[in-house]
Amino acid sequence: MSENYWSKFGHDRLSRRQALRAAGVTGVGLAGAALIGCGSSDEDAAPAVTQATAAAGSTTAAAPAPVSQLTDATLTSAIASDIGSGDPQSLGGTGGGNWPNTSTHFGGSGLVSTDQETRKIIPNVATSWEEAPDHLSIVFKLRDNAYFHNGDQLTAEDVKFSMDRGALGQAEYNLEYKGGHSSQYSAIVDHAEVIDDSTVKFVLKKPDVIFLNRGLFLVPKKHIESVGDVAYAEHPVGGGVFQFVSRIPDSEIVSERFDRFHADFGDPTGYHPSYIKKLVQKVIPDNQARFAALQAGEVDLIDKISPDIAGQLAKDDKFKVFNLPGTQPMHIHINTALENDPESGKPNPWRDKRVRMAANLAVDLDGIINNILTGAEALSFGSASSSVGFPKDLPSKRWAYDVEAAKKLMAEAGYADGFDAVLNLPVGRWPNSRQVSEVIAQSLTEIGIRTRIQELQYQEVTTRFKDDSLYPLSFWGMAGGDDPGANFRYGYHSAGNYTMSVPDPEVDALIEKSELEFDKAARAELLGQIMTKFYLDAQWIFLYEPVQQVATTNKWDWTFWAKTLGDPEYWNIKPAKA
Amino acid sequence: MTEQRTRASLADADTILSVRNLRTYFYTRDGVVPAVDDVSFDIRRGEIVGLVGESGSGKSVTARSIMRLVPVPGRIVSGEMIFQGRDLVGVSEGEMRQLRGAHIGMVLQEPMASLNPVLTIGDQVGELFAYHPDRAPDGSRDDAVAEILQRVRIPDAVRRMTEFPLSFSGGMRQRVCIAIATACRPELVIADEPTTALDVTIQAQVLDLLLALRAELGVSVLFITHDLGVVAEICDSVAVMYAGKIVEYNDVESIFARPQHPYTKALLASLPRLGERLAHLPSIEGQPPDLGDLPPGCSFSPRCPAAIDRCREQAPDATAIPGASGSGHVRCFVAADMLAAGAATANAAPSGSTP
Amino acid sequence: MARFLLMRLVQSVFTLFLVLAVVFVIARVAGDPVTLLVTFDASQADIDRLREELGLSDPLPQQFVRFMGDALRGDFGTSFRTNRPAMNEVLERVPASARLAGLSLAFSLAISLPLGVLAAVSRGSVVDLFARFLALVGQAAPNFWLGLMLIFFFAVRLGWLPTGGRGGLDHMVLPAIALGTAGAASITRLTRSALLDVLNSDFVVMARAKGLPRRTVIFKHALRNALIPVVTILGLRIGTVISGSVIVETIFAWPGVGRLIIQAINVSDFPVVQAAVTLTASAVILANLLTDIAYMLVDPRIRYVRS
Repeated sequence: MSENYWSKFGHDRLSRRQALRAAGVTGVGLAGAALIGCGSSDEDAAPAVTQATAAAGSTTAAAPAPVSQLTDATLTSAIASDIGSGDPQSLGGTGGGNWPNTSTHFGGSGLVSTDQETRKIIPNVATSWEEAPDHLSIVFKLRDNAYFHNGDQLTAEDVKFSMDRGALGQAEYNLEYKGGHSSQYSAIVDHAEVIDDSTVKFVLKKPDVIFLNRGLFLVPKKHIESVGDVAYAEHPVGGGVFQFVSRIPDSEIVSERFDRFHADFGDPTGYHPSYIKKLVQKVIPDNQARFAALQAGEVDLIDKISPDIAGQLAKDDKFKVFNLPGTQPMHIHINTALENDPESGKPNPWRDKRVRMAANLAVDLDGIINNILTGAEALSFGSASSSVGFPKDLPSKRWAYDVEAAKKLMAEAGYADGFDAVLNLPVGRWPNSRQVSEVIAQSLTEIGIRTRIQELQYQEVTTRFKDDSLYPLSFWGMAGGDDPGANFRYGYHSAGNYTMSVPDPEVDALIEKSELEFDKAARAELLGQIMTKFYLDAQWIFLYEPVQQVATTNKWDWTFWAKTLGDPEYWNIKPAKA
Repeated sequence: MTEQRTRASLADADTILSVRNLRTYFYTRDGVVPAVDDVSFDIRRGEIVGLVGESGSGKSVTARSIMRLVPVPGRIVSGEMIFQGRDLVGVSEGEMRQLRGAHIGMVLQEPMASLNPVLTIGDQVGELFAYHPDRAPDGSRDDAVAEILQRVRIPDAVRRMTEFPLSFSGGMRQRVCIAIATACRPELVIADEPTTALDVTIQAQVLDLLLALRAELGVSVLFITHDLGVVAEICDSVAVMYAGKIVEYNDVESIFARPQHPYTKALLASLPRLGERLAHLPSIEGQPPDLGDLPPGCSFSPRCPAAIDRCREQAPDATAIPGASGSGHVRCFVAADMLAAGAATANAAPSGSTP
Repeated sequence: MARFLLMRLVQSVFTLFLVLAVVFVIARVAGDPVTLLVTFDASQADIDRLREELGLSDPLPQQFVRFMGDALRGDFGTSFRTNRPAMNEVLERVPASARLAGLSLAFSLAISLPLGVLAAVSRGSVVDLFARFLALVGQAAPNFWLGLMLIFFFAVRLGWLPTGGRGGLDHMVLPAIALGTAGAASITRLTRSALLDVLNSDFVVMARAKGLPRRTVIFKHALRNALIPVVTILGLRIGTVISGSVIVETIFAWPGVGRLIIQAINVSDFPVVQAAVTLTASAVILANLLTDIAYMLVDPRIRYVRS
């Protein structure tokens, strides 16, 4: 079997993963689509990184395709939500969902990509890079045939401009916060320098072990400076596989194949010019209405369909259904930070590991996945995405459904008579979350944890995470990202914004150490330790990764390639041969 | 029961309307209600005929029947209503529409509800001419309307015709209704308790107006009321209704001087003296019958002081009152017996006395 | 009459003030908006700085006064999602919503008035039974269900009309029907019962006694009076149509204000939610005010009684 992030030290992946034939949803917060890619080894090109990742060669699946496969076809798709703005640097942690745009107009135009199997960083727009021994600067060499949609060549000036604009907030509107995605650099990057047309240097404030995993969207300097930020957001120009043609807000986005796209068929990144000439994305928010539009022949592809509709379509040979695994592992957050139950004043029972273990054992995850969800969801073992795989042995230690064992643990912990609990549920945030929460509440009640569901607005949940006042249970999901450790700082570390756990000095120390460990294997080892300890300590009730289902008519052939992309790979779709 | 044709069934030349054996039944879920049952009477030119009875005795249904405006689920079952040589029971709706408003006018009891609140007075009077052009006066509509309003003694008519009913008092509204009913100079006006809802002084004014209009236009009036005092004041002849039937019909003097039917007698007995009028009919012992569930025999028999066994078994037919003009009759076994006895005694008394 | 109008105007302004207050409170009570603006790993210093920038660290009364001042100028801030002024986002979608609402009201009236009149004048007939059945079904059917049924029947099965989306009249037919059916049902019922009431009234008997043709009696005399309650309901329908459009616009992918509200709520884009709620509430308040005025024009009684 192919390798994964943990392969260096012999970990493997869940077999469930192998059955999936699709890409996953990229998390909102950190992992950027612009970085995603796959391809050959980067050993020669990037000495500093190569040294850190002495991994085996990649096992890319992308087969070279002849240029003659380009077609004049137009694909019309129905997408659930419109982009808020065409500017890839304009969205923050608002759940705004810019993905239709970042995966088409900016898809495949990042500095680096990720090998889909090994999760290694490989070249893309940057052909090589070199990191200083003190990890405080990094120099990228750019390829000489990367272009923006307006015909301008992509140069070092554009890369510096993209960093300045995105990370350092130099746009007319407040990109630093509302621009969110690139703002993660503001605490890390001191400044960017142009060395020559094809060489750019980032000077960092502090070492950043996941610097290459962070996504920087590359935007055209000259163009934005001439048209302004507002006009740019309305008519984006990028370097991605599709170029923007027109958009009617809330209605449709029209794009065309970008003929000067830098990666040709067979490129190690897996990107290549689109088979289809034109892409029309119609915005149809309602699941049933998208289904109807597909049936009526108005569209060729629909995204984000519910399991029942997917089931209906799968039975009909006029349609094809695809599962895109997500990268946002779901869990029930357990508040162990509070010493006492804020209502009863009694000691917090969740501080007892046996109670947390019992809660994990009480939930029939396979039943939930097969009966409520699509059946294709991967199990979650923490905040790291299944696309990265899991540390060796961890899946085999999973908390398998066992009510009797759970009851026994409850009794051992002195809660044979049970206790009351509240499950806080952010309203409408995740698909099927209400049904899943009801089953979980029922399961917990069965072992004596009498659970009732309390619905909260998402905003209230994010606020109350900050002061640890969500007690004791909260339905929650966290963007997995391309690097398994990317989330540990705010999800696992006791100082994190999204942690309500009692401080575990051992985990805190391991996280801090991993953030300074530039040796990939050593870092993977550390991350494996953290994840395993957190899981076995049953700090949360671990759930699953939601899967997005997509359907097309049978007039299209579609071979997925990426594993962590939130949006259909439109450049990989072509008309089916008659 | 065989239908009995009453005397003078061949209306004389002066007769405007001759109602014969009119039956109007209501077909309700609970059964058939004979609201008007075998009613016959005549109205002569310029005559005011009173139709008297308690609430629910069938007076208003008789009026609506003549207008052919019987509300559902009622309908005219049989009989004839000869108006100017035409039987109203048989004429088409179109013909009937030509007659309504133009040849037969109608005034209702509640002046407050009889006028359309969202149309001006002028419009409500004037629209008659649009549908009865042959009866429309020459000249402008507004002039005609003003003249008609002046005819019913509405002051400042030119200005007031642009106003809505809301700014009119009850008495004034009833004048407007009378104006509407008489605008086309009809031959007959049916006035269904036109004064009941009015104050006593206003009542008198409206009655005076009706009398004046009769004099002026020569119009005949079917005057429906439960007030015998009003009848005495303006009517020429009277039909007393009880439970859907006319129990006694005669000229006003005869009725007041020599009432035949025990019900008529009871009504007169309860009438206050000195011409004083009451808002409601003085009470007669017992309850008016439920038209849907009439007692066997004579409907009045349960309340009748003179009732004999036969009254409770058999319904009396109309018996012509000797000496009465027109089609004067009474429905009572006792009265009929007494009349027969009287006729036998009086033997060769001259027939026909002047009213 | 002028005083009555003035009173209603004052009432309307007060209602609008209440709406704004509720909008303000909800946005503050629901949690800290700043947590939505920053990434997961934002530092406390960043959060504090942003809160300062947005004026969220000021005392609530001060924030409220500023909010009211801004709101009166139509300034609800910048959309978190698009970085554009929130009110612009809303106003851009008003024409689409207004077109759909207008067509749906037109549909409601075109169906309900003739049907209600026909049912009343032929009471107990097949037409009457049909009208009553339709009114019952139309009021009971939720508009999202009706919308989907219309899509699956007319767009998928028959292929006569598009399933949704922006476009000309063909794109508006199904959503207008979905949005207007409940209104058509309730107006049918109301027209029928109001007309039946009026048809039994004395002035209609009087009108018939004048020898007026049936059509004149019904349309000139009866219907005008029966329409008075219908006008009231019509005013209330405008509020219902606006709230119904939230669902119908989403199902039919119609780019209007209703759908914007759903979208903004989904991503916690509070400036847009506030702007949209305020604007739609103002529309409802205005509709009610206009209804009262229309009411006065239709019914002279009100003019006298209230003046």
